[in-house]
Amino acid sequence: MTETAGKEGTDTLEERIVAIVVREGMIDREKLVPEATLEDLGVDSVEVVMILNGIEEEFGIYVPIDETMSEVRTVGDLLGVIKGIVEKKAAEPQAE
Amino acid sequence: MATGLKPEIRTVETRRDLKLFLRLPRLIYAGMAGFSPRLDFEQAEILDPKRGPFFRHGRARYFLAVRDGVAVGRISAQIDDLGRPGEGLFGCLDAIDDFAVVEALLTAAEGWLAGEGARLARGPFMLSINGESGLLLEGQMTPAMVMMGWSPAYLADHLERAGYQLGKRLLTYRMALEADTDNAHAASLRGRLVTGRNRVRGLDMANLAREAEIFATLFNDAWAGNWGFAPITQAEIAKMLTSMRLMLHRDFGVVFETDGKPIGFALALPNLAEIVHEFNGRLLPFNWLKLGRWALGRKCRSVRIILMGVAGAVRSSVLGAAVPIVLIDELIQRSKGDGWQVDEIEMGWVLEDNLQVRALIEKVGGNVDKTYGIFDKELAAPTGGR
Repeated sequence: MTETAGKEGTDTLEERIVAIVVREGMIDREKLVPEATLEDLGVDSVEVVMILNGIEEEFGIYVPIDETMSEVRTVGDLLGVIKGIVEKKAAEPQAE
Repeated sequence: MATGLKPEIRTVETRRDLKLFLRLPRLIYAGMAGFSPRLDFEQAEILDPKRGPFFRHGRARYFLAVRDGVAVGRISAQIDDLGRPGEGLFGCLDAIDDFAVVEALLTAAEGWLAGEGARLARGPFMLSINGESGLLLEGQMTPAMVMMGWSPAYLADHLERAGYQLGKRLLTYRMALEADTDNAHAASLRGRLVTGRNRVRGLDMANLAREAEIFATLFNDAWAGNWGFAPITQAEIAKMLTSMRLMLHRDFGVVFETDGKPIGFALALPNLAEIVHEFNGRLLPFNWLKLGRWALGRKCRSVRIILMGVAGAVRSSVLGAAVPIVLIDELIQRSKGDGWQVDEIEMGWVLEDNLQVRALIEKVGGNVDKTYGIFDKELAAPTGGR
């Protein structure tokens, strides 16, 4: 997704999310630029579900379509929200 | 009947002519395989200039083809002031299998349209693109559906012979509902989405005028910019709702709201064609009783999702992508519960080249059941003075 390498963990997380979006949304990888909107990419209801399900399986999280997710329009927005949820989950103390 | 002789073309001027115009399809198509007579009342609500909401923003002229004193065809020509400048529309094209009849009807319609300043004749539409649209190309033997036209296959050939070109193909989809029909994707979305600030409600039967305003606003917002778009008016939706009031139920309209603000809607109509095919166009003297029993007894087996829209402001967001399938699923769930016996849903029409909407419908289980065509012909400028 990014040309410049950031912290290793961040890039890895982003690439994992991108891979899911490419696979579940059936989107060409080269079209998945941060400013591309879901509408531009032709992402419909079913593909939204498949992407979210894929992300939930991959990271063991639940992704609600809350106020923040509802307003996601671009690939960059989507990555930002998902990364936020994953990072928040990772920061939570593990249950005994 | 197909003599090839040019028929007399009569402009519809009187109420008697208008009645004949309304009845004509069942007079000339009676006995044809696949044809199902419509209610005269249903057509009058649209075509009668004294009742039809189209006439608040458009004008029309109706023509009958008559040969040996017998009506053998009909056509409408209309200008929609909410449509594109220079575009003339035709509709209600019904005729016996005789090119001379179809050609004479088209010539009359084209002449009137050219006189109104149109440079293109496009159709058929009854009376605008927000009414019954297209000539049935494929699916003549498929069961009839409310507010979807039926035409014999020969009419398309006659149109093309008269210089018309097929401009767009429209598709309708049918989906069989089983008692256990459940779409896992839709269920997943509902679980995530219909919570907190969001809710889905049924049609508010006590405030149909208000519902019509909501539907018109969302529909126009959603579809503006699509091919052939002309805004639908609140009056047109209100007429549809009120004329179907006996058959309507709160379960056939659903509205998705966020913080009480409508974001999307879907409206289905019970398939009147299931019962009225045996009425031969008439409600009197006793057919209205049968219709009432059918409606109140929740006996309809099929419905058509006729209007749907999602607010433009959310269309390109996750919410906008998610709402359509939630609305369709809500209608499906309601159609299976509370005493309803619906086992088929028709969706459409959809432009053949609107691949995104088609993909969505196909993913929820829809299969193409009918294909309609919109035909175009450029009109020559009228010659001579007035």
